[in-house]
Amino acid sequence: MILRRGLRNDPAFWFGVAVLIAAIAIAIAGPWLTPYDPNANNLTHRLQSPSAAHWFGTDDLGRDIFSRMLAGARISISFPFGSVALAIVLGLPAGLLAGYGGTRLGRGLDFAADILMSFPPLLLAIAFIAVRGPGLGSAMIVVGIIFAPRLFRIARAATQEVMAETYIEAARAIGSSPFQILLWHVLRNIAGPVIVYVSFAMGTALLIEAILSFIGLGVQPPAAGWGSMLGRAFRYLYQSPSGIVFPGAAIAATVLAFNLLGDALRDAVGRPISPEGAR
Amino acid sequence: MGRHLLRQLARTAALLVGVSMLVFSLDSFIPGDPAIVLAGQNATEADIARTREQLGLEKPLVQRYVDWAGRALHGDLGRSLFTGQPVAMEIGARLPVTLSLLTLALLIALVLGIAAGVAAALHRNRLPDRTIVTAASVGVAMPNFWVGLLLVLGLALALPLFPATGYVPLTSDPLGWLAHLALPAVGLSLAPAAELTRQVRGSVIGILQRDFVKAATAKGLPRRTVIGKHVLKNTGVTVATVAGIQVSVLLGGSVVMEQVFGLPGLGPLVLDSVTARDLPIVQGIVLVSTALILVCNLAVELSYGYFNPKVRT
Repeated sequence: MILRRGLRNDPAFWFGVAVLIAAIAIAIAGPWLTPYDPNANNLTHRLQSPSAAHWFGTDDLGRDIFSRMLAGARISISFPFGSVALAIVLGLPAGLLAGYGGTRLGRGLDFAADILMSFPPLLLAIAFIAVRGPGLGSAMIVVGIIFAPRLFRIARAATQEVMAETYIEAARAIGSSPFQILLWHVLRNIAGPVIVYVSFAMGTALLIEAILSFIGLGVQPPAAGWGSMLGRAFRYLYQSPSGIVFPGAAIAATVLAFNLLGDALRDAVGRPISPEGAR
Repeated sequence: MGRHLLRQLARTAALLVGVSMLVFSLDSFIPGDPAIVLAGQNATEADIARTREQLGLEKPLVQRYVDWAGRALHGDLGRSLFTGQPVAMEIGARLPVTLSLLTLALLIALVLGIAAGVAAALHRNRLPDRTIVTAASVGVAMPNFWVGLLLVLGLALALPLFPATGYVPLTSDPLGWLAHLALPAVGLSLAPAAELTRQVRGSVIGILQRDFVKAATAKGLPRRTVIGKHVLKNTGVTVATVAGIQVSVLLGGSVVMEQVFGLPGLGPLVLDSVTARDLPIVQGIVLVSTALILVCNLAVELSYGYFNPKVRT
C-alpha cells in the first residue's frame, strides 16, 4: 500500500510501526538475546528487585524476568497473528459471499453473527476452553471465533458498498465471472476497512491471550508468555511487585502500537470503522 | 413506537433462543464421550452412568434441548456435577456481587468518559484535547486486570487506603461495600471510559458544527445551555451505543477482576467450574450473562427513540 501524505506525517503511526517492528524483532531473535537462561532456576536469588545484574528483577524461582520476557515475546506476539488469521479465514469469505449474493444468505449469516456477538467475548472464550481443555491452541481457535463475526460484518458492509459501483456493473457486462469480480474488483476495494479492523483486532487478541493466560487457561507451563508471567507474579505480589510491572507494561505498549496503527490507517482510509470492544 | 418495540422484542427473543441452543450444545464440543470426560479421572462405571443419566445423554439432542429450555424458563438450570447444588441457586448467591461491581464500573466509566470527551471536544486540537486523547489511547491498551494489580500495589499495599481483597454486602455496611469495590471498579472502568471518551469527543465535534447549535448560539442562549441541553442530548445515541457494547466488555473483565480482588462473584465460580469441568455451572453463567447483555442491548435500542425521535417508526 502506498503511504498517503497524512500517514507519512503522523507521529502516532510511526510510533506504532516502530514499536511493532521492535516487538516482532524481539519475538524472532529474543531467545538469542537473553542475558540469562530464561528457564534456569536460582533459588538463592528469588524475587529480587531490579538491579544491574537483573534489569527487571527475578521471579519466584530466581529466573531472570528480562530474559523470560525476551523469550516469551514469541508467544505473546505470534498469538494475535494466528488468531486473527483464523478470523479472516472464517469471516472474510463469508462476508464477501453475503455482500455479493442474495439477501437470504446474507440474513442467515447475519443472524448467526448476531448470536455469536451476543456473548461477552471473554465468557465465550472461557466456555470454549471449559469443553476443549486449556492451552494456547484452544485459546487461539476461540479468539478466531470471537473476531470472525465482527470481521464478517465489516467485509459484508464494505462489499455491499462496492457492489453498487459502476465498475462492477461494467465487469458484469463484459462477462466476468462472480469469482473474478470478487477476487479482482471487490477484494482490493474492501481491503482498506478490513486492514484497519485487523489492526485493532490484533491488539485486542493480544489482550485476550494475556487475560486467559493470566487465569491459567491459555499458555501452559513451562512455556510462558507475558500474560502467564503476570499470573505467576500475582501469587507473589506482596513480596515482589517488579514481576507485575514489566510484563504488563510490555503488553500495554504492544497493544497501544496496534491501536495507534489502526487509528492512523483509519484516518488514512477515511471511513469510520469502530473498533468494537471484545475484551 | 409500538411496532418498533415489538420488532425489537421479537429480535431479542430470537437471539436468546439461538444463544441458548449454542450454550446447550456445549457438551457436544467435548472431544470423546462427555460422560467419561465430565465424570472425572477416577470415575467408576457407576459414576459415568450417573453423569450420563444426569445430563440425559441417552436421549435425542432435540428432545434434550426442549426439556432443558423448558426447565430453564422456569428458573431451573440443572445441578452442579460436583456439589449437587442447583445451578440457579449458586448463581443467585453470587450475582449481586458481580452486578454491584458492574454497575459501579459503568457509572465511573460514564462520568469519566462523558466529561473527558466533552472537555476534549470543546478544546479541540489544543493541549487539554491532546492530553485527553493520548490518555484515552493508553487507557484502551492497558489490560484491565493489570491496572487492578497496579492499584493494589499503590493504594492497598504502599498506601493502605483500600482493602486489597474481600467483600461486604451493601445492606450490611454501605461504606465497606464501596471501599471493597472501589479499586476493582476503577480498574474495570478505565478501558470503557477511554473508549467512551474517544467516541463522545468525535460525536460532540460533529454536533458543534451542526446548524441547530449555531442557531441556539445566535439567538443568545448561554454557552452552558447550548452544551448542556442541545449538544449533550444529541450525544445520547453515541453514549448509549458505546455503553451497551462496553457492558459486554465489563462483564468479561469482571471475571478476572473478581479473581484478582477475591470478590465472591460469578468470576471465581466460573473459573473453578472450568478447572473442575463442572459444565452445568459454566453453561448457567454463560446463559445468564448473555441474557443480561441481550436485555441491555434491547434497552439501548429502545433508548434511541428517546434521544432521536426520528428513529421511532
